[in-house]
Amino acid sequence: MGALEGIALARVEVRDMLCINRKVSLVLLAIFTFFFAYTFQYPSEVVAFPRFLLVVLLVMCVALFAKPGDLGKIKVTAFLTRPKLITAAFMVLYVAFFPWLGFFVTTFLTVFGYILVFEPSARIKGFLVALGWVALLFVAFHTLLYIWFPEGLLM
Amino acid sequence: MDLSFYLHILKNVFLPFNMFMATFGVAIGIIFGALPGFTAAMGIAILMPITFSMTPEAGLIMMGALFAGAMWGGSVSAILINTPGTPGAAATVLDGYPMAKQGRAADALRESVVSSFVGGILGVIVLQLFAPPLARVSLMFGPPEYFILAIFGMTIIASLSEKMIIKGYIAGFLGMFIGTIGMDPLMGTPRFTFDIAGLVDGVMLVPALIGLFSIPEVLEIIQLHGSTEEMIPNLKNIKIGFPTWLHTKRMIPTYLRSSIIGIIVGILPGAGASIASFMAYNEEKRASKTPEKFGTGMIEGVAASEAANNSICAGAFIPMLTLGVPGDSVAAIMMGALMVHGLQPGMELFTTYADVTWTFIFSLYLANILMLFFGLYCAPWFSWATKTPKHILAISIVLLTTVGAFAVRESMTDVYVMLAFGIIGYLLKSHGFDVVPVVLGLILGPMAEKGLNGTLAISYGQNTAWFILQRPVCLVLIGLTIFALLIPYLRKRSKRDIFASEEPDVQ
Repeated sequence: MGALEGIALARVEVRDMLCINRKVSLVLLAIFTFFFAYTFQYPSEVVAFPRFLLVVLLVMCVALFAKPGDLGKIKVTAFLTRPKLITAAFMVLYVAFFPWLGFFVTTFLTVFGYILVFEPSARIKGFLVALGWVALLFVAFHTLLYIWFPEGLLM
Repeated sequence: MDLSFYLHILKNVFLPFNMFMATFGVAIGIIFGALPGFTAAMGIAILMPITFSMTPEAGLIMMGALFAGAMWGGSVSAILINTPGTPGAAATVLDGYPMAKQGRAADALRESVVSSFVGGILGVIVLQLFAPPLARVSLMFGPPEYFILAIFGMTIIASLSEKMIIKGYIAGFLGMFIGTIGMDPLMGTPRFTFDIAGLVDGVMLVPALIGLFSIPEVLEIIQLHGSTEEMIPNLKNIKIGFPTWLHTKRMIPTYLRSSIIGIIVGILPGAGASIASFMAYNEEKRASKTPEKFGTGMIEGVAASEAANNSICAGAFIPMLTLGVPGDSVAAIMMGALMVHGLQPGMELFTTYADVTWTFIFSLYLANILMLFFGLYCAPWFSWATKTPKHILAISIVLLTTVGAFAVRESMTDVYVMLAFGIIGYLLKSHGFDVVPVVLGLILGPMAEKGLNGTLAISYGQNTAWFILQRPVCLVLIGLTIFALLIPYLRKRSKRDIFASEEPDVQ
C-alpha cells in the first residue's frame, strides 16, 4: 500500500448548495463587473457584443444570488484533498518544466515521481511505466506525426 | 448520387489506414467508456490533436468510431461494477447490474452490445437520409438566421443542463464571452488580451476543449484512488456470442422505439446520452406488461437504454454537419476538428467535400460492426481496463493532455491555455456548473456575433427586430427557442412520473 492510499478514498463533504451558490454568484458578479468596466477602454462598436453578454451574465448572477436554488445539501467529493493537490502540482510542474528540461527528461521524471508518491516501493514499476510512456509518446507523436518536442537538457 | 459514387465512398472507407483508424477508435472508445470517470468527449478531446496530421477522413473516422465504442463501453462497467462508465449508461445500471448479480452478466453484455449495434445502425441510416436535405435548408440561412440559431442553441443547451438551469445559462454565456477574446471581427481590435501575444488570435478551441473535458476528470479520478479489482466478476471463461433469432425478433419493438428516441434527443443541441437512455428506459417500462419488474434484472431495460445511447451518436452529427450546431459535447469537439481541417458545416460539406463527409458517414456503419464484434468476442478483455490503478490512469491523462495540446501548433501557449481551462473547468464543476454549455458557448459565440453584425449591416435604416421577424426561418427558430425555454418545466413534470428516486447521481 502506498503512503497516500490510506488517505480518504472519495472523501465526501456535505455542502450547502444555497451557501455555495450565493458565494459563487458574488465572485462571478465581481469578475463580470471588472470586465464590464474594462470594456470602456475600447471603442463602443468593438465591444458591443461582449458588453451585451456581460450584462446578461450580471443579471443572471443577481438572479442566482436571489434564488440560489434548492435548500438542500449535496454530497460531493472534497474540493481540495491531498491526492488532488499532488496531481495538480505534478501537472503544473510538468507544464512548467516541459520547455526547459525537454520532453524526455520532464516526462520521465514526472511519471516516475508521481508513481513513487502513490506507491513508494514500486521503483521498478515506476521506472518501466515512465520509460514506456516516453517511448510511446515519442513514437506516436514524433515518429508518426512529425511533432518536434523541446529537447531541453538534451540539446 | 449514383452507385458509382457509393462504391467510391466504400473504397475510401475500406482503405487500410482508414480501417485501422476505425478499429483503433472503437477499441480505445470501449476502453474509455468502460473506465468510470472517463467519457467519450474526454477521449476525443485528448486524441484529437493526433488527427491533425492525418487526412480529414481518417481523423473523423477515428473520432466517430471512438464515440460509438465509448457509448457501448460505458455499459461494461455499468453491468459489471454497478458504475456507469459514461453518463449514457446510467440507465443500464438499473437492470444490468441486477442481471450480473443473478449470474447473467454474459446475457446483459450480449444484449447491451446487440442493442447498441442496432441503435447505432438505425442512427446512421437516419443521418444518411436526413442530413443532405437539412444541409439544403442551411442555404436559406443568412446572418439573422445564424444569430437566432446560435441563441436557440444556447437556450436549449442551458435548458437541458443536468444541474441548475440558471447555472447552465451562466456557463453558456460565459463560454460565449470567452469566445470574444482576441481580435474583434469588425475592426480587428484585440479585445481582453491584456497584452498577451498568444491571445491576439483568440482562445484556441482545441486546447480549451482538452482542458475543460480532461483536467476536471483527472482530479476526480485520482480521488477514487485504488482499483476496483475486487468488484469485477470473473469473466475469463464466459462466452458471450450472438443471441438467438427468436430473442432478437422479440426485442425488435424495443430496439425501434428506443433508437427513435435516441435519434431525436441526439438532434437536440446539448441533450446528452443520459437523457436519451432514461427517456427510452421509461418508455420501455411504460410499454411493458410487467413494469414492476424493471429494476430487478429485466433485459428489456438494458436493451432500451443501450439502443438509445448509441443511436444518439449519429443523431448528434445531423445538426453538426448541416447547421454547425453540435448536438452533443462530442459533436462539439468534432466540430473543432472540422474547423481545423478547414471544413465548414453546411451544404459545402455535402458538395465540395462530399467525399470526406460521406466517407465519415459510411465509416459509422463499419464502426458499429466492429463494436459488435469486439463486444461479442472481446468483452472479457475490456473488462480488465477497469482494473488499472487510478493513479496510473491519472498521470497518463496528464501526459496525453499536455502533449496533445502542444501537438496542435507545437506551441507552449496552447498548453498554458489547456491548463488554464482545466482549472476553470474544475472550478466550475466543483461548484455545480456543467462544462458542456461553456464549450458550446465557445463555438456558438463567434457565430452569434458574426450573425448579429451581419444583421445590423443588412438591416441598416430599418428596425432590426422587425427585420428579423419578417424572415420565416427566423420565426421558426424563435418558436423553437421559446419551446426550449419551456423545456425545464416540461422535464420537471415528466420526471415526477419517472423513477426520479432511482436516478443515480452521475457526474
